[in-house]
Amino acid sequence: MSRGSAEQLAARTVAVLFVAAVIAFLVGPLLVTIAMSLTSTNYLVFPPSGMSFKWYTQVLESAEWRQSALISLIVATLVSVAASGLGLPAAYALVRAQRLRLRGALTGFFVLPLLTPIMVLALGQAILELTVGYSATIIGLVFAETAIALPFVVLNNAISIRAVDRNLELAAQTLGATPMLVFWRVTLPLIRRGLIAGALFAFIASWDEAAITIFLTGPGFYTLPIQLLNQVEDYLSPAVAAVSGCLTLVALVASFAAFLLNRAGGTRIFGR
Amino acid sequence: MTLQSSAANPGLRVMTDYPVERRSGSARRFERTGLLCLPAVIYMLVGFVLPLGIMASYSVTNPSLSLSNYDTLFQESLYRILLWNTVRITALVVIATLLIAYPYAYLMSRLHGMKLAIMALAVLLPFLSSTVVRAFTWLTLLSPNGPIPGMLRTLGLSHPPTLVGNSFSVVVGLAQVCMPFLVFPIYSALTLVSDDYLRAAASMGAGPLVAFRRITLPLTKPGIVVGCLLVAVYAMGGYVTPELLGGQGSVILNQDIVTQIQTVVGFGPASAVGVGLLLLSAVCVLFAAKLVGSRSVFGA
Repeated sequence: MSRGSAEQLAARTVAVLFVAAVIAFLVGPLLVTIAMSLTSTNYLVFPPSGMSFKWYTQVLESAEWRQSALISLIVATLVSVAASGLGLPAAYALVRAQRLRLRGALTGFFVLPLLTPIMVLALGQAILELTVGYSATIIGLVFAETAIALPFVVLNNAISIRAVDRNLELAAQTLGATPMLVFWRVTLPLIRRGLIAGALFAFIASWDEAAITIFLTGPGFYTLPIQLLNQVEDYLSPAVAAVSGCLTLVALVASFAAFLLNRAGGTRIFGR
Repeated sequence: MTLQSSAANPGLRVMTDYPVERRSGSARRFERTGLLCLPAVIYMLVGFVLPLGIMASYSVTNPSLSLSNYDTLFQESLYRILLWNTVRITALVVIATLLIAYPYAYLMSRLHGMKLAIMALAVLLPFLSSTVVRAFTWLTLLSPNGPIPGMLRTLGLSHPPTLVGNSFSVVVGLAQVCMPFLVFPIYSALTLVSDDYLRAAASMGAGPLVAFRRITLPLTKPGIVVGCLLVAVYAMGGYVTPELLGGQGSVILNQDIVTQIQTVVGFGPASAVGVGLLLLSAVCVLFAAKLVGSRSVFGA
């Protein structure tokens, strides 16, 4: 008996150490970024020496960084709205339409961008938009990036809608509500959290996009990831770490929000 | 009864979710419901199919109507190296991620509440943080004078191996962000493996390893295959991570696309590379669909 419990203890210890190591591998670098950005030196160093927010102040005062942050913010917001606007009705149809013959094919069609190497799509988008003259515009970026955000929104919303008890909708319908009213007053409130989580994922997908944006931005019109990429390729200043720190904080806040709204979010989006 | 069975077995949902009598009126309304797909379908045609189609046509019409762009791909030894690098790095990322993700997902499936939430959030965080930032942080951590080689020196390794500027750092950087693609599908599949199955196997004399190989592994196979597919496509498609963390010896096809566009402004040759990559990912998709069925690959 004691041998069994000793074995159990050993297995438990190995499991805990393994999980700790993996979490350190996953989250550790993010914390290091924030630590490095607080350095008071004029070069990047880890562990940081001294502590100051001077690089944050410098970044926040820089017109260049502020402009690209603004572009990223506008594009990501519009992408999240566009992807939700297209994805929610599509998800509703996929789940609720009774005689949708191509249900399987359509679902696969909406998932395709996830199964396409992003750089290939980026190249195609670039050729298209250079041909019609929409490169380096907000509209051009939103149009292109919606393609990569759409699968997340469709998958997430389809799962939320599937979880809604059909009888609630039927009850409202029996009481005389039109289909639109049923959706608005019954379905939508019930899937609110999933909808917002999907929109947040779309936002983050666009906010971090650094493949499509490589071809569709240009001097004077850079999104934050591309501005950052240019700076990193030039030289490593703590300003880069400060921007990284800001971005990491935004990501942290957004993911906590998505997580609180929708605890099973990860399973929903990736678990299929 | 239908509701209960649909809750217990998600595979049955599609069939049992609609206990509605079929009147002609409601049938017509449901037809209209299907039309709600239309805006998204139209967008996908213009925003996804059209760009890929234009790219494919550029690969044979730019600069002139010929197969010369593909000739270059097959003739130049550079492209053999780039293709090999792409395949090698993709395979390494898939293997590394799977080796970490499977035990991690297994332990997740044994936990509940806060511990489970923390483990899930840790997997999601890198995916939600900035790609450039992640690559840049690994660059700092792994650089010769950085903290990780420093730690290795303290541990007694006087000449730690070069960790950055080669495939190693690219694989590390990609594995970190690819974790959710494998952890969550495997976790979902594992939660469906009832303890009763394993107990039944044990009662019939199967050791834990046999039970794992004969019960747990087959039940989690769709999750593993679909997850590996998503990781492979992500690894093939990324640009920032290989560009910042890789070196001369680990350049992949993606980087060549960007170089061609940024220096030569030749859409034709770059498009041919793009078509090649697209075919490579299509092979992966078809292979996965053959292994576990297209429903698992495409179905939501």
